[in-house]
Amino acid sequence: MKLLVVDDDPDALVLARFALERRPGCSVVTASDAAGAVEAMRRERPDAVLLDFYLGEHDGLDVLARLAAEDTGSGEEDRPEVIFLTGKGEEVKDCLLAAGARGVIAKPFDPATLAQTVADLLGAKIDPGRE
Amino acid sequence: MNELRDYYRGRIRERIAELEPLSAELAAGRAGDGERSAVRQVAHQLKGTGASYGFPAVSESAAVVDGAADDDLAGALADLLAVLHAELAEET
Repeated sequence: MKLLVVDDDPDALVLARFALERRPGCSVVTASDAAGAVEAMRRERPDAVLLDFYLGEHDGLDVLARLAAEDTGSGEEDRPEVIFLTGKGEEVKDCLLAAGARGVIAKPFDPATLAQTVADLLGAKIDPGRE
Repeated sequence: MNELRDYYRGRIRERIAELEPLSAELAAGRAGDGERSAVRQVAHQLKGTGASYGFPAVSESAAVVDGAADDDLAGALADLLAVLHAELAEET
């Protein structure tokens, strides 16, 4: 499973990569802004996108709309699912789900359970790997 | 997880170096919108990552800064800097 993690905080990207790539079969690509996210989605064709809600001057809904407008080249069913990372939690969860997000993960997240949480949201099987 | 804590301790040192000049500007009443915005951005990031790296007090204190009104920002930032220094002192 290839995941694109988008966050303007480099420490969040380091942590997400550590938490996700310790699971066999999980690879992570990263972007730090909206333009980078769009470019990485075109180039890397991830299975899912973990998207920080606050991304510099763009909020997550803007970026979600930009990603949704991208032509994946292989049809709607292959469009990557988007999971939001946000410190706002329940305040914005319903809004993000209504906008098309697959799920919402609260920040700060637990790196020990992040990969499983992502897999659960995607309905994907994931190797437990190293604990 | 120890390697992550070591990494983040280094980042705390860098964050202190970023925040202390801004704290001085706030305390002196010289801070403008740009300085306040910079403080809130760093605090927002610390809020989002501190606990994940094993520093829950950093997330808690940074959340106060992130949500502080302008008049309360200097005090909240001073408290956050105290927490950051305490985390470094605890590990040495």
